[in-house]
Amino acid sequence: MKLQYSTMERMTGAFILLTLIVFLFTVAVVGRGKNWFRKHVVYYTTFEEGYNLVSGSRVKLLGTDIGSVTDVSLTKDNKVKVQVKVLTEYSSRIRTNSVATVESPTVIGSEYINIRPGTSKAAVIPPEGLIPSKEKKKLTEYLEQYEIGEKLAHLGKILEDLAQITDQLKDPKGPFFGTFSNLQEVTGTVEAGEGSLGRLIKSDELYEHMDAFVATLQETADKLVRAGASIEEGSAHLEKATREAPEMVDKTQELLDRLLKVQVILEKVMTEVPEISAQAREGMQEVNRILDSVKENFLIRPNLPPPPESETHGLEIRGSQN
Amino acid sequence: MFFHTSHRVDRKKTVAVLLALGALLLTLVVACGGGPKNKLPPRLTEVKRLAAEGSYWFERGCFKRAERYFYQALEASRLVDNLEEMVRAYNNLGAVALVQDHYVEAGEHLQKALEFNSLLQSASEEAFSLGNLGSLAFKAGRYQEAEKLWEKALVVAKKNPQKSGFAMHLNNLGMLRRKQGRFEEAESLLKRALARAENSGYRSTMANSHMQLGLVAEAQGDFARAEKQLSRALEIDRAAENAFGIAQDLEQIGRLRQQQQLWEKAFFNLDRAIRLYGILGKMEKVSQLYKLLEINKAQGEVPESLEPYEGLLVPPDEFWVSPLCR
Repeated sequence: MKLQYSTMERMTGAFILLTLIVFLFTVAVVGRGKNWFRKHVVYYTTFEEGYNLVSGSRVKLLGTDIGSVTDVSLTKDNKVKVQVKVLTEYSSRIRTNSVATVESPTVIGSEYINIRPGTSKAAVIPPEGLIPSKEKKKLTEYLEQYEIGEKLAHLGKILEDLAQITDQLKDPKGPFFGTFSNLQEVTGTVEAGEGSLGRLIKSDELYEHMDAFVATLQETADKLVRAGASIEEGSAHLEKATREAPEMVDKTQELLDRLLKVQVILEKVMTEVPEISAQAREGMQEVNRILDSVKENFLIRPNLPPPPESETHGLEIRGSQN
Repeated sequence: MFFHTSHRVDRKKTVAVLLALGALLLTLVVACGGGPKNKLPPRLTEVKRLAAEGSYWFERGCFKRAERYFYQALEASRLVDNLEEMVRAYNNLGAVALVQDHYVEAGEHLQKALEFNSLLQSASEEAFSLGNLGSLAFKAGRYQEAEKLWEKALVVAKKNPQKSGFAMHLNNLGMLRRKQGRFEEAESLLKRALARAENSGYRSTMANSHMQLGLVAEAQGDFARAEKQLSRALEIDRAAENAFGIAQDLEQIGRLRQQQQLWEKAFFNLDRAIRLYGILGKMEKVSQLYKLLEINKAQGEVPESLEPYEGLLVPPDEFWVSPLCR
């Protein structure tokens, strides 16, 4: 039996069909953006701490998003087990000598796992395998890495030497002013003379300038020594605090740890600022081009404000007091 | 609900209905989509955008900000050697300098505008330059020169009365006649200005015409008519959200109330005016209003104390920006 449909039924059917197509299309577009339809491989890694990792935290390989954390749980031996899913296409780079570390954001954002790819000689970790991990660095490790303590000690020694040298220079009987006095003595005969050399050496102005210069040098050195002492004092306080309040110091250390990283990143960024600026400008130009083409769209154009119109202004005298 | 067999249409009819609906939809989309296209080249569009931005801030009373945009518009117009926009920018820079009492600078800009306009031969721009030079002369106390310049501006503006500030020049001349005590002439000029401004929809000029007519009536002792005109000016400025205009209207109404010795009513207007001038950073006006409030206190015992207004007398530092201009 052949079914017959009314116009209303046909139109309703067409409408439902169209809605369904639009829905499926939207799902396809969103899913594509979210990697819903791409295959993933599951791995595990363990850390001593959770480092604020949660389900959904990003997983990066050389700074590029390759997956996400799917589960965070505690093991029986009090470690944090993290389940991650990684896009299949990157799984071949996760090898037995790969290392997973938890990285903190520079200013905003949340912690993520960064995986350092393994070498081609190492074996590929099979799905659901364990990726070797490395704990986050602490302040002491950074201090060790950058040899900051050693450098501070060296700086302190330089400052002390500088203070000693300027003390010697300042001493009227010391080598510098001693020599200067000798020079004055030797040129005693010239003192009475009327020539330009005589006038120059006779002039107290030169001596006064030298004196002022050395005094400034002394003052600067003193300040530097004081600064060095403050650094040492601060360091001593930190050590004391470490003994007295480990929890607070841990937090402070974590903060300092981050600050130090920020500083390192900032230093790097500062060198890259011109390049970033150029890239930003190029980006904005690109956005402008896109906006221009969007404005050309016949559906959008009528909703745009009218093109700007310049007008001339005159000054009208108002009120009674002008 | 069931359809009777006779109401059913065959496939061909269904297709025809759907096609017709589709065509209708397409026609609607195309008809709605045919908005005006910006045909101007990009740099000229930028010049106009900068000038429009300057105008926006000028009308809000944010003169420093407006000045920056007008300068940018001038430089941008140089890049494309667009004489019309250059003259306009010079005129606007002249107006904005004038309103800030930078007379020398204003004179230089307006002379430049006239100089470039000799190449462009634009009647409307010339009228604006002359009108603004007249305002400059008036502000500097050279009333005869101002009169001549405004009259000349009117003659030139007649060539293109719609966009040459014709009503504004009439208003200025009307104001001058009022100051000279030639009230009938003043009233006639101001009424003409009002009619012209109403026709063109220039609300600021309309409000000013009403204010000047109110001041003429006040000078003639007709307080009822003065009140009516000043209230109308306030109404228009309120509708246009012209903050500076509102403050001026409130001030004039306050002054009128003082003349009528209605001290309490005067206080309500002066209080709002002084506070508004304070927000706008118009220190000269704040001082004037403070003196009026002193009179009000002495004569009518309102306000009880002038202490709340003393803070307004402290001039803001150079980094101060009116809340309206942020």
